[in-house]
Amino acid sequence: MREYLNGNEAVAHAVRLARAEVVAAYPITPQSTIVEEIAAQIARGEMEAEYIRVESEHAALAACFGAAVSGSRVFTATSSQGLAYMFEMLHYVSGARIPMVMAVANRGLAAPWTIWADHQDSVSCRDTGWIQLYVETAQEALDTCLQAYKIAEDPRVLTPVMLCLDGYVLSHTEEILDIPSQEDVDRFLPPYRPQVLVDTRRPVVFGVGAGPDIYPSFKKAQQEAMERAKEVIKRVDEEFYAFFGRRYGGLVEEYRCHDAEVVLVTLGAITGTAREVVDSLRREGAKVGVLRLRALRPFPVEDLRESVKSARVVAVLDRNCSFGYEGVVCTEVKAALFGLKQPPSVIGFVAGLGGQDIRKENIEGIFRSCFNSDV
Amino acid sequence: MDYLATKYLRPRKIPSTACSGCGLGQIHKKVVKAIDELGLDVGDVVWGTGIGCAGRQTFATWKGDNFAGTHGRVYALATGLRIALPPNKKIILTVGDGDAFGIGFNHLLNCARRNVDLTVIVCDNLGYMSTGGQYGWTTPEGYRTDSSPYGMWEPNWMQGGRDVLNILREAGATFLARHTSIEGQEAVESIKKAILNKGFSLVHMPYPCVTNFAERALGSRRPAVMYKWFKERTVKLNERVDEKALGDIYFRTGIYYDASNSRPEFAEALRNRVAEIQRRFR
Repeated sequence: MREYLNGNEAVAHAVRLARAEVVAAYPITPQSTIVEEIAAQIARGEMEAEYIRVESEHAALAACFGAAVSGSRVFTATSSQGLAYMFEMLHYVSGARIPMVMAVANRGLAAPWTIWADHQDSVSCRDTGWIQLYVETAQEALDTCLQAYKIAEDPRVLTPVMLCLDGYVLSHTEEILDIPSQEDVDRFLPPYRPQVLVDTRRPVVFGVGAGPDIYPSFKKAQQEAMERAKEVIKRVDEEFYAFFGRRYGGLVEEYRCHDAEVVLVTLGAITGTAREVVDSLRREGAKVGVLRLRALRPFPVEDLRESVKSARVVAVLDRNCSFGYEGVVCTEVKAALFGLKQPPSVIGFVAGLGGQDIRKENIEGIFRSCFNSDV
Repeated sequence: MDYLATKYLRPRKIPSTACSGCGLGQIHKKVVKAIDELGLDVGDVVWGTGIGCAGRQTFATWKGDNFAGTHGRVYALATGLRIALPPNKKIILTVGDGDAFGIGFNHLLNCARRNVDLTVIVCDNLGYMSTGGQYGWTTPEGYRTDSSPYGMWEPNWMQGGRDVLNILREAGATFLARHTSIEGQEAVESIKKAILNKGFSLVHMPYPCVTNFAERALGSRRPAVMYKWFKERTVKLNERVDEKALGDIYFRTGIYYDASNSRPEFAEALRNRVAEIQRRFR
């Protein structure tokens, strides 16, 4: 079925198709319409789920945690300050290995106050033990949401997934979407069967204390699960392709990178603009490409190295900043390429903070400055 | 421009970014009028704001010092500021219902318990109107909002024998009042008393939201419909009414509780206590 919907509505449809059973949320722009649409779907009888309006984002994630340990498939969504307020629960959920999906409609953080798109909110949560997938289109938001449940619930992974979509640019912008049928989704994503759950007949303990003797083993297990998630993310993307005819490259999505001398690394929606610029520069004969990181965690070290093999320069466009250093993705890319025999130079660009438009001219300027740099 | 606005507010911020028909300006003006009638100067007041309609529309309008808090946390920020500021400076907070009675309620209650010298003006548009009109903590039972299209079904802080002001009184607040924004000088007088109380004061001020609340709940964006609704539901505390006949939410207005200056104020008590302990070591 084809419909004209925005990114938030796309996510709401995916949550319905995934048969999420408990949704808890607190309103925040630009996320609110995701959970509103979910509530409307429940009201219309299109979705069988419990929807709880809670008193804060911290409580939203806490409620999802509670529902998930009893074996429910859960969902929440937030943005910016809301995500920041969830920070304590982010670690709690990932540490307890609760597979859940949360949509983050990316928005800058205060102060100063802003409601517009940048990636500072989710990038700041890079180290919370959540898988982070960044999408480029509303269609990909829908598709990735379905994939995310399958990834999170995989027994080898058991790690929550943050589905990051740029505020407004994706959350509030309509495109024509293909909405999969419930039958197909049910075959792709079977019901969640937790290995351990709160069941009054077989008592278990969640949120245990761990002394220095065993705490590291929990953390090591988390790290190993993240490493395994790399393969799972790729495999789920391929499986999705077999079912629905769409795929997104697994961990990274290349565009004209195979012989590119300059590769621009991006996250999220800006990639579409970058592709246009690549096409126009290619017509002039410039060998340029764009590599979109779909996953920021786990970080796709091997895929990244492979994709920039021919590059002399790797430019990184960051819609965030680690103050006192540089854009976070730039640091990650440098670290991933360190140790190669002839590594390309990496040049970072921070742009588009707080919703500032990144225009074609800006990206063209990035490419040109990379060609002109004597590195 | 209005004399009060010229004297106390930043011209660049007036008129505010409120939707047309919004009742928030009525509250804003009453607060400034109360400040004026108390003879306070721009330098005597530090003005804090939360998030949402109230936060956005009143933020940085004050000619003097302003600060904006994170959602629900402005009471905690103000507590810190109270300790640092000279005791004669006033702290006035204009916040929303979601900020005060929802996400920030814990901090608000603890400010009341400590009796921190703050004047909190809760500008209540009956839900989360700036995010599109979701139901909140004071949304009347049965009313439609964006997130309660079949009517508000959760218990609120206002009906069913509950009153948020009673909770605050139990928590230790020393001045509590309620007025709707459509009231006149009596509301200004209450705000003046609130400011003069050296302790935790809160004035709960429901006001009309034409754009989101009225559209969903009353089926009209005509300001007259929304204002009539408010007028019919604004009832003085001592006024005798047939409550059954009202059969709906109504706002009992007036001073609920005035124990001004009856309990030690937090920052002052803290300073005295520390001084006393330090004396023991001298």
